[in-house]
Amino acid sequence: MFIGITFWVLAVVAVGAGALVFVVDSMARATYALAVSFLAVGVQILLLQQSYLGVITILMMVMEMAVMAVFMVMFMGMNPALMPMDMTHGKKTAIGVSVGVFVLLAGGALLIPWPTRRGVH
Amino acid sequence: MPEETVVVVPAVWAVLAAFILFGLAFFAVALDAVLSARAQGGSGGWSAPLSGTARLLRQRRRKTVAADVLLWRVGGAGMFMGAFLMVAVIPLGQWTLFDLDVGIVWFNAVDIAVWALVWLMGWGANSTHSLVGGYRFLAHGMAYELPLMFALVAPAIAAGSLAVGDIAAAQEGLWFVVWMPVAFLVFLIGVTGFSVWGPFASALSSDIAGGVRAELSAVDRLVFEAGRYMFLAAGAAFSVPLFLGGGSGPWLPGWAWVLIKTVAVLAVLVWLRRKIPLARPDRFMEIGWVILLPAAVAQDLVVSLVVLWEG
Repeated sequence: MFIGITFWVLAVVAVGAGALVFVVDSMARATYALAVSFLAVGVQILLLQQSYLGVITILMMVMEMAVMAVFMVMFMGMNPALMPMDMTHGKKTAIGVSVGVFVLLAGGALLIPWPTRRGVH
Repeated sequence: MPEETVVVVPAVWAVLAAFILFGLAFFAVALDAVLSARAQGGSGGWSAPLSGTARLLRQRRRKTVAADVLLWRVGGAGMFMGAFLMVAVIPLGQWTLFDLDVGIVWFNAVDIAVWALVWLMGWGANSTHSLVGGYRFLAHGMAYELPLMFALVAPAIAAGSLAVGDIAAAQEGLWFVVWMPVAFLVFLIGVTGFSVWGPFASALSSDIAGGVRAELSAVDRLVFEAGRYMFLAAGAAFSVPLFLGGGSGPWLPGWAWVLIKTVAVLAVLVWLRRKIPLARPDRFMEIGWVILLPAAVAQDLVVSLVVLWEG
């Protein structure tokens, strides 16, 4: 029960924060919305009782987002990265690719013949 | 102590852990103020934590134009809460709040969060000086973090475990600090690094008008400063189970020894602030990656060989 509720809350946070990346108008908010999404995924992994993988996912992703803040200013030049801006570009290609990848991954998850669970009676 | 198995205490005891952490932070603030007063030929300063807290609580909050208030507050509050997460896995004698099998990685993840938090504070104020401070911290972070990660590997290899309680228990007879002094030193450098303390305080230095805390006032400044001191205390406390034998020691019970050792390490870190010059982020990068990182890796190699030798 508790695990079920936690799973769904985290799932909604992960997807919602992931979507926010493209909604917000600030580089910093987009970066850390992505960090929140990864944080939720990391806790999901902890729910699977994979402590090392879960904690290391959180560690790596937070570090990565902090480093991304360095690169975004380095590559974009000081001004554009600091100003409010649209987080989407090349929209048609991007939407096409994302829908394609989603269908592929979701299809894979649904169609693959999963092995039956062992060790539990 | 042969019965050095870690006992998980009920979550209510987290309140006591929080008070211990507050106490250690108070001690660090007071000691720093006393040393400052002495350096200027004066005396006193023990009341600094209380008077400073009272002053900041009565101060009016400063506002800046077009600040990203959400990210700014997340940074400050995160600094305040992060230190609690860090002490959750430290065993006090044989008691612990959270007996995590990957306690070392947990510690590492929390100290990485400081990267994000300090930068967010620098970003949030929408002030040039703050942002420059935030980037200075990230530059320091790159320099101290990798050596710190490799320093954390050494006790884990020697104990054959990532759990903090197991590492403390593995030091019966010989403390890890004795045969892995380089890792201990690099660890302490890392602790001062993620506490934005001493040589790593260039993100807050006066040449950029206070840097990350340039626009911080009132309770926001209080939680950030308290967070820094609590991180320093938590880092000092973490060095005890990692390198200083945990709760082992004569006569006194384990919890008392953990506290005594923590206070000693914390006092040294506070005292050193006046003895070591500020490290320029670009110069320290070279020290971090050319000297400290190979030294920490060499230390890991020595520890691995010893562990292999002893079978």
